Amino acid sequence: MSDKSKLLSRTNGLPDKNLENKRTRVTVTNPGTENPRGTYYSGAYTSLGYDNSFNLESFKDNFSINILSEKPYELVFEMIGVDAPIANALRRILIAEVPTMAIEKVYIINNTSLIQDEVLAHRLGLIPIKVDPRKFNFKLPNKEYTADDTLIFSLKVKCEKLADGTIVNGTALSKHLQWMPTEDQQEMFGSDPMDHPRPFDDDIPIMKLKPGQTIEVQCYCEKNIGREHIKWSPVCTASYRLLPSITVDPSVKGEKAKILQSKCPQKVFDIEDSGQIYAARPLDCTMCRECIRDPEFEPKVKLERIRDHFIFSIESTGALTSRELFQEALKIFVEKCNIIETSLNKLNN
Amino acid sequence: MTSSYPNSSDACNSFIPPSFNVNKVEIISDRPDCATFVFTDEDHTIGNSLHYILMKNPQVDFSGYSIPHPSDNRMNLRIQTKSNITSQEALLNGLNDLKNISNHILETFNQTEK
Repeated sequence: MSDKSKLLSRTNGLPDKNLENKRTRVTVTNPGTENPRGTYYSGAYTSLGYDNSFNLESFKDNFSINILSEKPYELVFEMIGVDAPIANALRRILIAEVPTMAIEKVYIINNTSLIQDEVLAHRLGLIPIKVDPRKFNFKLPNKEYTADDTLIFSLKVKCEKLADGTIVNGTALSKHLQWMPTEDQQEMFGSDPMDHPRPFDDDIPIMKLKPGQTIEVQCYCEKNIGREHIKWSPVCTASYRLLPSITVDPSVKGEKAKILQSKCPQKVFDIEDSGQIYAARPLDCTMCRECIRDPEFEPKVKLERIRDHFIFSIESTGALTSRELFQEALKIFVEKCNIIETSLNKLNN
Repeated sequence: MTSSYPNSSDACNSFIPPSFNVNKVEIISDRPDCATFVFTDEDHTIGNSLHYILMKNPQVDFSGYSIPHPSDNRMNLRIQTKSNITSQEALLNGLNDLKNISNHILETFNQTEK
């Protein structure tokens, strides 16, 4: 076993160029993609002297993260050296398993508007609430509401026509939701109103009102995860794509290079002084395949994606910043593994 | 997992809804080297990543997972090992690898600045 593993290497890739290309690239051709599935079996390339098994040290050596753009609620970064199942698990956790707070129970005190109670309750539920969910517990079923697991908002809007004909409160907006602190919640969030729990956006229309119509409800926020209902999902989108890699045959030069350059709607190509064309901005490529549509260029341009180079983008709905969301997702992944481990150990005892 | 916030209790951890925390795994097996693990309330997130990491283990001959029915909250994971370790050990190794990967990504991410 030890002799065999000495012979296997993981540094140089596969000796066969075609196979190495299959292992590390997803090829994009006119009819569609080729080799979209990675090969993960540890012994897949044993006969070629390549070790395909998992090794933490070499994973650490190859792994890197590079942030492309960062705003508090929009993060785009490159994750290099990780395989699709891991990247996908993180994406799935971000969408469905990072908890947030959302309105779950709505007590309707008065509703003389045109919107039915249940539709109103659903609309209220979907409003993103800006509050750190880590400060709260999950509400256990059939338990009383406590300050540890529930936030209360009240919504009281009355539409009126003033003497001069102007209509006030023609639209009930999310900013009309008033936080009602219970027990020690006031101390928990301090005195600055910007730190208080509130809807992330002030201008989300909840309903239109006509003069004389009133709405008075009490909303109870609970903590839960996106798998239960999408209103608890902390992200607008969490998605990834693979980095495009575009190689042009050196024979494309001069006039032909200019034609190819003008074909690309994303302006990915640049032409060197020598007249040689190359892909200067592969990140901008949308894989529209316009450059390989012409039969003349099809054999000259190689459109590929790098299998272990992910461009991850996380857009938050506002409860946590995108950065915090990714950190939470990784912690939840570990926590999920821990729960399975404890459960397995319990079975054995 | 203890939270740094004073008002959250251990009984109710801050990450995973408590209902997802009971009777997570069942084992169906009559030999030590192969088993089917039946997970409750798990899906492709854990299923595919465990399948992947198990396939990457040279001591594992076969691993595969399925979700038999979309309205059942069950996920089956089948493992067959090369008999120098048991399938349960292989699963524990896999979980450990996943945790190491995740921790390393977190560490790298925390060090990365724009």
